[in-house]
Amino acid sequence: MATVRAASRLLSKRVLANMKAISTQYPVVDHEFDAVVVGAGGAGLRAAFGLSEAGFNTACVTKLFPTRSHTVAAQGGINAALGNMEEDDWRWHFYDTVKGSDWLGDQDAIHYMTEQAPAAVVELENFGMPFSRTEEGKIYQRAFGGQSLKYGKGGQAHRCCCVADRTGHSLLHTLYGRSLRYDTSYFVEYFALDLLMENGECKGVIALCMEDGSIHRFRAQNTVIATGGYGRTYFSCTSAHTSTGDGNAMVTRAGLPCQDLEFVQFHPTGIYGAGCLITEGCRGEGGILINSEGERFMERYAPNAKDLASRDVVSRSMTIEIREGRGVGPDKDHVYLQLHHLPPQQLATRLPGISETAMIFAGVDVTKEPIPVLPTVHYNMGGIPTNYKGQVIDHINGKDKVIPGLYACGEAACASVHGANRLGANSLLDLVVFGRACALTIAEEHKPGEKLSPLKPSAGEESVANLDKLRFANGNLRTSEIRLNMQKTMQNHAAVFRTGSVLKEGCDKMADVYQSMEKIKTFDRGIVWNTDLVESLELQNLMLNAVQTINGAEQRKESRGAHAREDFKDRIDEYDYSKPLEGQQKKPFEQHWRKHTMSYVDPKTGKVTLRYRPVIDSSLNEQDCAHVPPAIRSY
Amino acid sequence: MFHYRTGAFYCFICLSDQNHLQNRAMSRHSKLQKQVLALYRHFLRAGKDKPGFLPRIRDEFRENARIKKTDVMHIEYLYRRGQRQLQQLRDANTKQLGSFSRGSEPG
Repeated sequence: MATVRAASRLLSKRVLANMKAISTQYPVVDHEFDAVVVGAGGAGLRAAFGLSEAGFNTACVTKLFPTRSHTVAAQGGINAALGNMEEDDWRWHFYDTVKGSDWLGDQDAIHYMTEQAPAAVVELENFGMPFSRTEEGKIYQRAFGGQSLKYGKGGQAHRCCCVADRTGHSLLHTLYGRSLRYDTSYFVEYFALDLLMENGECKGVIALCMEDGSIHRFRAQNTVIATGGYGRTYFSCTSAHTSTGDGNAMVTRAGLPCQDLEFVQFHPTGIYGAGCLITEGCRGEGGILINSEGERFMERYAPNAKDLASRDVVSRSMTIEIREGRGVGPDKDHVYLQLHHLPPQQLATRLPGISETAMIFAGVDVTKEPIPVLPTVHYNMGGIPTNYKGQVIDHINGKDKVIPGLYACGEAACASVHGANRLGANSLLDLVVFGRACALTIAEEHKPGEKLSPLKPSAGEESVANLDKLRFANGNLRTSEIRLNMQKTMQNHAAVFRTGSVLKEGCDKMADVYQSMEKIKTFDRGIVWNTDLVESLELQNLMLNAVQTINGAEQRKESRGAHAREDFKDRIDEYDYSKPLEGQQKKPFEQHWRKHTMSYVDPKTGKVTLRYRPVIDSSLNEQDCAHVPPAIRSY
Repeated sequence: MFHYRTGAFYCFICLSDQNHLQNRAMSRHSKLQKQVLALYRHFLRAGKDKPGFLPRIRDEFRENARIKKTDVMHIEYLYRRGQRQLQQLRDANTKQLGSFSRGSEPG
């Protein structure tokens, strides 16, 4: 303010008044709702209209137009034990998912999801989702990775319901169309900055309207976070540029933990170079992975499931082939996905989207040549910890404690149904089932029109202060430079195969990159459509996710699911499940790794604190569906 | 560091017509000017019962009155944005307007 006063002698009063007005005032509009949903992808839309259907006055705050959320890019399908292709049972799906998660998934949440799956898919079909059909007119189900019959003993299961190879696109458009029937208030292109927390309770969200630069506080009894994943922490990923982990960061800044962030899924078939996704459905329709010798190498790594083994197994196999010199291309750094042995008519009906993607991004005609592919970051198994009802939890003094007023669903949440590795086509299922679960839980616990608890008038002050600081940041590093440093560090130090020394180096480098955020420089000083500012806010969010990911990975000294350590090649459970259990001593909690990581960050210093939480091993109803005891995982 | 106040400041649209203030002889408004004046009236009516909006509405319209009446693109953009903001103001869930300001003024 001193500089402003001195300048007043030189500048005219009006200019001065304008300067002061522009730089220091942020109008804040207050809204009151029964429930607010942050994010309008598959999970967000399902939660929003589920709440509206139950009579709640709901707001949906989203930084993207609903049909532009990353759900639209999902290709594969939704798993459900409908039994259209062969006899099927949801308990077999339950077993496959528990095994796929490498016994890190919470079995009560998995029980809930797999039991609800057929009803969820039928509900979508009733909403008008144009599923592919069999000759009899039933929903077409294709084979997908990790799905088996009779608890793994009956061969490949066909349980992935799909819409050609653009299921996510159809799902999102169907949900969006359905949501228009209800009176949800959409706040599109509003960037959610932070949660409004008071006394450990969540009372709403504060957001920036990108169109006119005003701040909005949405006060609500119930807040649902459905903001998606954070693929953009890595240099090469299949995610959109908007996948920046905003929800995870908001929760971290509120002092709450994030769970299992070190488990990042590398999808086996991302196009080499571009990083665009080629769905697992290709392998489900009969596509095979081949190395430089033309060998179908997956037969050696997964004799039963072959190319349809679980994604982490396939990614690791591909990386090993490349490392041992059997990669293809001039640098021998990728492998081929062969589809030209399949009938062209099948490719045209079942896989039209990837035919076009391969042509545009790899210049390849799938009916004649194989597609060059490489494992690429695709999904985040970790996220905001919740129970099977969708309520956000913290783990204090050995017990789970529900955070009042806060819920999470979709990729942003970690229920945890995917554990250490997600099976293909389970994510779209996760979105609709848990989106609906959040709405049902809120309807059970609260009534529409409930009086809101009082909120401090200055709630959200720190978020606005942070926004102001970033808007006028005048250091020496651009946002894009810091982001590139972070992405390269993550790509080089926390990839498919991880080693202790490389991870430790990565943690130190990430700590430096985090500190370098102090020197950020932004160029646009305006408040209307300031994309420089929004990208910088997104970078802050990405940073919080990245430090938790790499620190969690460095601490976890075992290999489980998608987290593969070269120096600790085995899974370390409470018993050694490769030998008979009699006579074995159960290891204490501190000495084994079958537990969830809960990570907290101090946003000022970037220091990560890690705690651990036990896995829930019992299903919701042991008579109906017995839990699956841990065993060795092989395909 | 940041002070919260209810009232004042709603950074949005506006426009007005200098002509009306300057040329009494030419007192007929153009269609666009009439639309803007109508919008201003609607805003004032809508903002009457909710605390904090009126001062800001007035400030913004006065601020944007400086725009030349030939700059039609700008005026129409602000008009469209204003209509959206008016819809939001009318919504029953919008309650009040405050502001966060940076500075050394006491709370």
